Amino acid sequence: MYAAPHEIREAGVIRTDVVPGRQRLILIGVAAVITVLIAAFAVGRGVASDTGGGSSAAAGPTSSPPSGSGAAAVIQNFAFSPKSITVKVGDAVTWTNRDGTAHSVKSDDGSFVSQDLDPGQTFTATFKTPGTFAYVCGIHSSMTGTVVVQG
Amino acid sequence: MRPGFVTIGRWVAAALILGGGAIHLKLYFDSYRDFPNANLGRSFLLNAIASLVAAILLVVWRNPLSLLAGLVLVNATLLAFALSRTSNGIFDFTETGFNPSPEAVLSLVFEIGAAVVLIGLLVVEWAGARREVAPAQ
Repeated sequence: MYAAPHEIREAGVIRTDVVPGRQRLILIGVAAVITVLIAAFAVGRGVASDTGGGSSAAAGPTSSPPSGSGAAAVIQNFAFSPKSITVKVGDAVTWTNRDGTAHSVKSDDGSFVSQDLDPGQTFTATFKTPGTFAYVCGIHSSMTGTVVVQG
Repeated sequence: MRPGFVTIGRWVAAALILGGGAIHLKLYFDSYRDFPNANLGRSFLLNAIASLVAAILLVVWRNPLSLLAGLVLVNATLLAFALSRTSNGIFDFTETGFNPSPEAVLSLVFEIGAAVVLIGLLVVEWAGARREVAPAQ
C-alpha cells in the first residue's frame, strides 16, 4: 500500500503527522534556544543594571539630619514633586515616598544618596553649599529632579 | 510519559504563569498604573489578563498550541523585563537590577520555571505524539 511521506507503518497502524516528528523536534529546539537566549538576556540585564540600590544612606557631606528650615518633596506616580526645589544654604530637603513601590534619591555628583525608600519612608539631605544639584531615582532613571541652593 | 505526568506538568506550568500574572497585577495596583506613560500600566494589566487566559488554556485545551501560547507569553514577559533594564527602557520606563524586590526575582523564577516546564511538555506531547488515522492494510 502507498504510504504518504509523513506516514509511518508501525504495528499494523499507519500514523500520520501534519508536521513530521523530526521537523517538530527542530521547531521545539528553535523555540528552546530562543527562550534560553531571552531568559539569559533578562537575567543578564538585571545583574548588569543593578546599581547596588539599598546601600545605606548618605554619601556626601550635604546629607545629614535636618537643621533649621527646609523644604518638602514627595515621590508620587513615578515622579518627584516639585520637580525643582529652591532652598537656601543650610536648609534641608525631605523626600517622602508616597508611591506604592520603592524609589530612591541619588544626586548626579554623588553628594547625597538615599537608601531604597519603601512606601512611606523619608530621606533628608541638608545643603551646605550653593549650587544646582541634579538628582534621579536610583531605581527608575526616568525620574529626575533638581535642588537649587541659593547662597 | 504517562498522561498523569503530562496533566500535572500542565497544571504546574499554569500555576507558574498565573503566579507571574498575579505579580504583574499586584504591581499594577501598587503604582505602575500611575506611571506617566499609560502604556506601561496597560502592559502590566494586559500581562495579568493574558496570564490568566494562558493558564486556563493550558488546563482545559490539551493541544500543543496552548503550550506554544504560554511560551510566547513567557518570552514576551522576559523580553519586556530585559528591555526595561536597558538605557532606552520600555514605554519611557527604566528600572534597575531586580527591583522591585522581591517581586522582580519572583516573577523571573515563575517565568523561567514555566518556560522549562512548557518546553518539556512540548517535547513530550508534540514531538512524541502521532495521530493514528487508519489501520494498515
